[in-house]
Amino acid sequence: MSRGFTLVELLVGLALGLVALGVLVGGVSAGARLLVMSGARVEATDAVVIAAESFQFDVRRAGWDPAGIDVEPLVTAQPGRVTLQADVDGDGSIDTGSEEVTSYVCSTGPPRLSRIIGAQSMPVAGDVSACGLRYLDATGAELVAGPGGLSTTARRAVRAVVLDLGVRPPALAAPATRSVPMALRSVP
Amino acid sequence: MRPRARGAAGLPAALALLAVSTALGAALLELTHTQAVLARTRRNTALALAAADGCLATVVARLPAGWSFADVLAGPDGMSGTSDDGTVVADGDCLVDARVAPHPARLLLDVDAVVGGGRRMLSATVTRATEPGAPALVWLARPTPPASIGGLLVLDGVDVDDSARPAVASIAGPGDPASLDAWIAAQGGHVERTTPDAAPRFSPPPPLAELAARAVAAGAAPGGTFVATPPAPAMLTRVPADLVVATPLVGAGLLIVEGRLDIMASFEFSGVVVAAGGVRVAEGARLVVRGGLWLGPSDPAAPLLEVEGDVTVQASADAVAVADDLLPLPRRARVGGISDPG
Repeated sequence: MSRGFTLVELLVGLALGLVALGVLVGGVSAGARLLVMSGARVEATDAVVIAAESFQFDVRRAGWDPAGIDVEPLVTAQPGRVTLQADVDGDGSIDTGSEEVTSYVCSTGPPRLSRIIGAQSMPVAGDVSACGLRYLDATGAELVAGPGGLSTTARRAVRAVVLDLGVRPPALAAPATRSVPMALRSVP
Repeated sequence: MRPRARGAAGLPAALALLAVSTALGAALLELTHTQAVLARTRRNTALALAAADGCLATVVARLPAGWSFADVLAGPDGMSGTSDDGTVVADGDCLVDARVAPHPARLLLDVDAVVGGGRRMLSATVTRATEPGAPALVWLARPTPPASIGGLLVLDGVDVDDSARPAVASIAGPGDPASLDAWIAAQGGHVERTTPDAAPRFSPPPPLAELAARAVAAGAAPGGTFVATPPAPAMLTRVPADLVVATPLVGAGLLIVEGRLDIMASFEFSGVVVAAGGVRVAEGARLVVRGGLWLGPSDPAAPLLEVEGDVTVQASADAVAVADDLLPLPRRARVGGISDPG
């Protein structure tokens, strides 16, 4: 009744089965890769957005001075480091070991952006592929900061600080980037 | 038996693949959904922050020009010790409260903005501007523009002492700057502006009555010290009624006329001229002010600026500074700093 399969039939069936399996495995594999890359892209974008929000919060607050002690919003202004200060508690003094003095530092080893308060350094974004700070005057022109940073006079002319940040986790080919210009709100 | 065995092997494999594909799809869907929620939340908070910033800018621009913030802290009824103390009138999307700052010359404002699904609060320190008065040549006490100009009104926004200084706007007042701009355009050749790009500005009205009271408190004797030929000494001059200039005169400093300034001849003044009852310049007469011209009254039916002769107002920060030295002038409020509690 049942004569079985011939060798040719078995080989053809096996080949078709392998092709079908390959297509299916490839599809699943591509889906898994897409999922991993999407996750990495989301993570990188989130890191950049969170860093931008943190930077925005501190730059907006720089120079906060309810007690009228003439708080300078910028203490240092270098291409890879900015230090901001504010009399957060309004007590008429700046506590350098507290959140009243905050720095953002682009470091290369390991590549990351850190927020430094007193002796405490907190990474804001890791896997940084690009990180830099620029300083703009009232006309929007860039004040070029040398390695030593802007002079006191030049710092007083700064009206906005720009953070250029790129984050690229190993799973990603292209980084998530953002350029965040933030105006100092304590100067006219 | 064999066909059943083949079917039994294919079905589990297909089901397994379906399960894996479904799991992958569900993970991607979840990821997308999470990002959509995060993006919506960020958008709402960004909109609320923008609303809070905009509300703060509007409220501060409308705060009365003056010397301290006691009137703001007293609330809309102007009386301290009442239930509305600290309340600041703001637009619908936000609530604003005023608080005393540690520094007596500063004010703290708390802004709470709710827009769409987002809510943001911020605190701001408010100070007085460095420059006295309004950033304009002519500062009006009422929102409506003056009557038509019959003679010639020249508004020269280029600083007479230093042309490198930023050009000064022609007119500022508590009305819509567009209506002032339209009024200037409607005057045709009767109004000349050297810096037409320096458009009219919004500004709260000048506190004319308080300025006069301060002049009295500072010992400004009624009358005036004007001379026939320059140079005129810089003086604080207060005239408690109308001032009629019937012969050519020159003056300097700060002139406060509580009535109307009536020019029948030539009058040149370097500093700030305050005319609480308006200015009238007769045909053939001439008024030149280097500094600022502050005009009342606030009553929209009363004459503000009647020009049948020639009037020239030139920018001079130095002359305004001299007037400010004689009697501290009112200043507008400005944002001095921001803190975002959340």
